[in-house]
Amino acid sequence: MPFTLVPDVAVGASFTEAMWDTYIKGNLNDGLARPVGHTQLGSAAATVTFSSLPGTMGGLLGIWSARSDLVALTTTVMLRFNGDSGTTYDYQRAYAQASLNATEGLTQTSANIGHLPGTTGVANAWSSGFVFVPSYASGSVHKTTYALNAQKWGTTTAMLQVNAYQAIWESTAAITSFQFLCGGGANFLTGSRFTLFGLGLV
Amino acid sequence: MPFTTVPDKATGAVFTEANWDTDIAANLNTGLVVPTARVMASGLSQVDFSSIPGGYAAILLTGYARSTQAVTAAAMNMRLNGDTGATYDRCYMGADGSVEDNAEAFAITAGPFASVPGASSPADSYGGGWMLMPAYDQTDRHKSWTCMSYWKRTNVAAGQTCRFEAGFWRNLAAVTSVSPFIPAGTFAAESVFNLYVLTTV
Repeated sequence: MPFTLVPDVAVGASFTEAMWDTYIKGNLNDGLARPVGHTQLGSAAATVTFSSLPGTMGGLLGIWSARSDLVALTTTVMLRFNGDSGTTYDYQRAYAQASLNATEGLTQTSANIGHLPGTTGVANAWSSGFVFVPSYASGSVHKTTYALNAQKWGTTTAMLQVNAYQAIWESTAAITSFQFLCGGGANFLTGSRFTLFGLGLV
Repeated sequence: MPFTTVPDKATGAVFTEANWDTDIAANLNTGLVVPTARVMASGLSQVDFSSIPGGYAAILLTGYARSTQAVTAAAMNMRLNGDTGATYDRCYMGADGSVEDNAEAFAITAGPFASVPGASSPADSYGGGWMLMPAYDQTDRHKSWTCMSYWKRTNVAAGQTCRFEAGFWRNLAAVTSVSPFIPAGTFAAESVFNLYVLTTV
């Protein structure tokens, strides 16, 4: 439901059910930018899934702060929609790590949207980032994602990254579930946080 | 503090105090992407957003500014909780004209935010960007954030910069203040900074 401009009311006007449903309920639930899901892991987990997403908003914005239990310096944060594990994802990554670099993935089973430290990364380093998905509720176009990520696993040269990612999910289905996956078959550590926002329409 | 889904009302239903407190007041005050502070920074060299409440998913800082220093551009870094120690790291990539650019720095005394045009840049040119920091209030981790910024130094080729940047603070403390600053001069008239909190459910 798009945002509906709230009208002025005259002195003595009644507050009606229609006013509640349209201006309060409709605008707050679907017309503004609001969280639609939030998880802080109480135990390590390989995935975090937000399902039953409303199909009435203009875009999705996922934000996260996480670290992995993989015995490695770093691994990836991946994204999967509607539980689709087919080879339907392509992605491109540009990043700085003491120099400029790029990687890509074609016909992948999930989309790369971030990197994070593993257990051999420097203590207390947690990565963070966001991913934006416009027109997620469309039932007629492939979906595109845009992501940015701050990644650190050490305190000497070439142990920091800023990562920018774009990806496409080659499906015209409306996105109804949004899943973060930890790469390398590993888990996100306890305390990792994920929040998903819906962005309103007019 | 988290967002509460607003229920439907049947015809003739009574509008209650609880409806107001939960569905309207709480959601509007703390349940959405809420602006918490705005500073018009003219005459200041540093802006302090202090007493940032905990309990939200993230903070988002935006800045659109210009410096009075007689340079074409000035770095606009930021400090957290007033920490001036060598506790920050940064890493960026960007472009100046057709030239790709990147750098990293470790154990520095301020974190990245953006840069702004100076007094020697074209008139009325303002710049800046935004910074997003999830988990800003968590005390079990060092903080990290991403920034995106743009500024213009001249009207000729290679006079513009866009940049993606990552910042890191080697501290477990909850972030309760954010202070963007410029090294010399002051922010010009119309320079403005906004801080938002992004809530949870």
